[in-house]
Amino acid sequence: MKKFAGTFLYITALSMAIAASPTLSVLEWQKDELVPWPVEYNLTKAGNIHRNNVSISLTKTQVKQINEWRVVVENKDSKPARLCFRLSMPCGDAGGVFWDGFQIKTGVVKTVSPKTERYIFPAVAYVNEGVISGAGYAPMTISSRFERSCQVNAGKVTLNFDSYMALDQGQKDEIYFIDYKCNGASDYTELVEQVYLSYPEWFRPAAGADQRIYGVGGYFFSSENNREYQMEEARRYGFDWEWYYNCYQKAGNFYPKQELWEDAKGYKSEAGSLRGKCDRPGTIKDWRDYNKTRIDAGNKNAAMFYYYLQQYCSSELLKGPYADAIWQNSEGKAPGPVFGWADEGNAQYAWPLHSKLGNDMREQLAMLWRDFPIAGFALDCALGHTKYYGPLLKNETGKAFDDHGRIYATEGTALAYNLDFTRNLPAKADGRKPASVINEFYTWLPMFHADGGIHEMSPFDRADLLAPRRLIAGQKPYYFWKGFRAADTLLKWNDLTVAETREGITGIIDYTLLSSLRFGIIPAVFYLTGFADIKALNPVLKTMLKAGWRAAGNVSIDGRKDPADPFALNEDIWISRYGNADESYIVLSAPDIKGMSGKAIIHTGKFGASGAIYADINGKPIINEVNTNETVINFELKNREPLILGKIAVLNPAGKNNMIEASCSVEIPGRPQTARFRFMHQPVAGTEIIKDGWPRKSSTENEVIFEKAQCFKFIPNDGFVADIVFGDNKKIDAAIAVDPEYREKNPDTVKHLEIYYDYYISRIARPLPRLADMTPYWNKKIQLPVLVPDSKELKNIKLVFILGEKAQKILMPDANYQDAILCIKNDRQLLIGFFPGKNISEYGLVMQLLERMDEKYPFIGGINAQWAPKAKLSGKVFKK
Amino acid sequence: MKTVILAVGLLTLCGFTSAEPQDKVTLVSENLIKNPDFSKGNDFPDDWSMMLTSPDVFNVKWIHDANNGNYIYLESLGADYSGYIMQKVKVKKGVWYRLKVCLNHSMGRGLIWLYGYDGDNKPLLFDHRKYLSSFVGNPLVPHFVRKELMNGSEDASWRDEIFDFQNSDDKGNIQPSILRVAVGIYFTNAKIMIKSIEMWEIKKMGSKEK
Repeated sequence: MKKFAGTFLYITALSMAIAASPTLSVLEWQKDELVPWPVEYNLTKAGNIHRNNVSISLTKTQVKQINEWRVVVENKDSKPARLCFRLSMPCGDAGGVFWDGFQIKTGVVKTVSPKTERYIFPAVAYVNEGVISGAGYAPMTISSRFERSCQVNAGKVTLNFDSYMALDQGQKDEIYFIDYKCNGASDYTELVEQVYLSYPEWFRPAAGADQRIYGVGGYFFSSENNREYQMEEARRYGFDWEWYYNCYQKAGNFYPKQELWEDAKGYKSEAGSLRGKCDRPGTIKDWRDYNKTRIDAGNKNAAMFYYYLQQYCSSELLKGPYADAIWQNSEGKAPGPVFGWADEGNAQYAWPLHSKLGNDMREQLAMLWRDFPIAGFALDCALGHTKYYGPLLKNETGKAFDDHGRIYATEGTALAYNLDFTRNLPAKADGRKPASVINEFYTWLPMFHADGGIHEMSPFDRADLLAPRRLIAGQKPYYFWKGFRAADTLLKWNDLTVAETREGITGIIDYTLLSSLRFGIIPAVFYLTGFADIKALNPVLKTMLKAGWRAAGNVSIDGRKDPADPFALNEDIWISRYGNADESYIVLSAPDIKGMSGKAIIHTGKFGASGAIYADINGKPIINEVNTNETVINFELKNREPLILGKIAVLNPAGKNNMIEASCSVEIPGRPQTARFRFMHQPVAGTEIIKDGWPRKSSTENEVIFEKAQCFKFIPNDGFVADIVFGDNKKIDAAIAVDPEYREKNPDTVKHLEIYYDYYISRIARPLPRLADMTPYWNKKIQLPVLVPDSKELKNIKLVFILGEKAQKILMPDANYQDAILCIKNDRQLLIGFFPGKNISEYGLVMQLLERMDEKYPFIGGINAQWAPKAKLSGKVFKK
Repeated sequence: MKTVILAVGLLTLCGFTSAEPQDKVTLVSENLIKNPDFSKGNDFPDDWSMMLTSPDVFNVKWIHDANNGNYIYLESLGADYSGYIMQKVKVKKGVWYRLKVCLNHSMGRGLIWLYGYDGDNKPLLFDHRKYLSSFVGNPLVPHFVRKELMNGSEDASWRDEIFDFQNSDDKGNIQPSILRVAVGIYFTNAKIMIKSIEMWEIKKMGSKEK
């Protein structure tokens, strides 16, 4: 160690003599320690290094503001090589802030060498007096180990980022380093933001991913006996994707093999899935047919992500065909079997990369993708950090070695490989390519190769992990799981008064809302059933998530120093940013109910939004002070209400100190939307407000109004929705008029209307049961009869929905519309017809009407938690 | 005999001075737990074992600290898992016992759990629990939820948790001859440090039991 330390200091002194440029040094494991090579490379240009039969080539690429170094290493020796590549960045004076990829340390005056393994973004940064230096991995690197430190020597700081690589004889491998330096940085998020900007494809779902991945997820949503109601329930809840526990699970066998199948045991129905038991005898074909029906039904509303576990395999299979894959830890032992809930038997850790298990798994995943209309895969236990020390390592790259020189690869390298494999499967006929949602990653590799991730906890559990995990996930969708049942033991439910209960629940909801907005994390469906405020948040959250959560907020508060860690849990103002130049959102909130007021300086020049004018998404006017590189907004936050600002126009030229009051009406489907801009003083000649895609409605010297036409209309207006009355809870006076041919081609359009009222009445009577348990309670007597258009019965029915052209011609012969929902009201009847056009289909129009009708016939489930009865909220809806 | 009485007296005194407010008791045995302070062992404390539903989501460390002595550090990284340190102890039927756990609980939910077995180590219907809850570091406090409304403790210092129980059953079930004493984390992200676990047979003050 002493010899190593002495040599290390020598190299450091040499680095600093060369001054600003980073250096690359190589250390090699010899006997029982890392010994540095005498060679050191000054990272200013590409080149090659050779020593001890190891060849290293270095190639530089400028990726926007990031310097990228591709390091290709070949071991031509007859024995394994164990190397550590150290990227060192001189950073100047000590006393600044060190971010180690996970946590920060301020006022650094002595060396910091963190030894954490989890939740670490693969990069480090040092910020001092506005200068940021950063080093790390480019996201395409596959590596089992990196270490990092902030070294302080004689008052000067050097960042070290160490990449550990082990190569067998004849092996070649590569890593990609990055380095970055700039002035004018507030904090470490500037480095992460630059990584996002330089490698955007790594931080978004892959091209072709089902876009419903950005929405509300859940599991155990299906109901075999209630498929049509499943469709309606998904619509009501705004349910977008399912973590799909499929009907057959044998750890290590992903698409059933005949030799492992038992007809007498068969597969799981939905009820069986809940218990983890096969309860439906049948053949593999039966399983395939059942699975397909179930996935088809779910896919109507929700993207179905097919559940599997890569690195667990049945103990029987590991004694048989997959014996090569059995896991080995650092002591050469296999971790003991666990009884898996998904598989009725014992399973163990197994190596799923280049093994017989891995090869078969990939083949079977391809078969699943081929045979079922799934949106991709749901990977559980994607921890990523467990170390494999077994004999299959010789086939792998991305290997590292531990502090005893023992070679290993993390399961993250295998997860990454297999996630890439499924991403590259061919597109379906509808253009979708497989995406993967992973659950509970502990390390960066799985998340960099996945398309979405779950925080399998409530927002108040491990809140210290929200920011680190979000930074790793980038712009990918990220979800809160579990729901408010996690609050079962949180409050003293039995001892609280009604007012205190309400106060406590309001606080929990506010925290969930503000955390969701701060980190772009979308609550799963369990959060919104019975909680109106959570449901109300989802549309805007989804919109912002698609725009993309950003690491660097680029918002300062006038008169306050920018914090060293903008995501610290104890910050008194929470700021987040979504989107960049064309589509930009800023969210401000204050956790203290007393609130806060001030001036927010949005540094628009930093994210390509120069001249941006912002408005409150709730329609309230906001005064913007627009300058070339910043827009300033006065804000007043209170009662834990967030202020969500959306960029609605650009001032051109942006100029200086232009005061503009801006507002944009809330988008209501079926109504035009108006954006209003009022100059608070005479603008400079030639200054104009640009709002792409919105026609100008009016313009005076000081005011401009833009109006966007609605994509469909209610004719004569949407007032008739209030007159829609189906009947009572025992009988109805309503029907659907449609010709049989249309009905056959558009069954779901008809079905939605047919069951709408039955669903509503039956569900408000029983808000808590699972859909599957509602079978005895539906009431077919209050389902709408479906009649042919020339049926004589129609004349006597008060409310008639008319679908399809043939029915329109008979019942609304004078109507000639497009993109419209028409209502004809006479003494006896309310006739409603749907006229599709270039903007919207008939199905889309029916969905729009149902959404309006939901305001009169609301149902979003009821609160179902252990604490709910004590709070007298069981089955009820809570609204703040 | 005098030495024993003196020792029991001293133990009783310690029990009174260090325990949470409880019924007054007399300790009538020595401590029944082996290696109660985790001071003995090589890689792991002798006489103890870990029960973890999923080892990968737990950090378990045996700490030897100059200031705090020996203790077990137990951390769960996932919300769906439980993990306990445990030991089996022979017990007498019908008597009262006091379990004292010196711990530091700084996050999530914990559990002190007693589970009964017969003489052949078969599990019985004997399951006594004391749940622990900590809101230390909970982000809801203070701005979103006042601490007065929160369940559990905000005390992240070392403290004694006392659990008195009787090894009896009023439903006609077999009383255990062996108890599994387990202390740990109950299905949340949690952090608990355990310095000692002790158990004595006790006599409650005012009790007419012999």
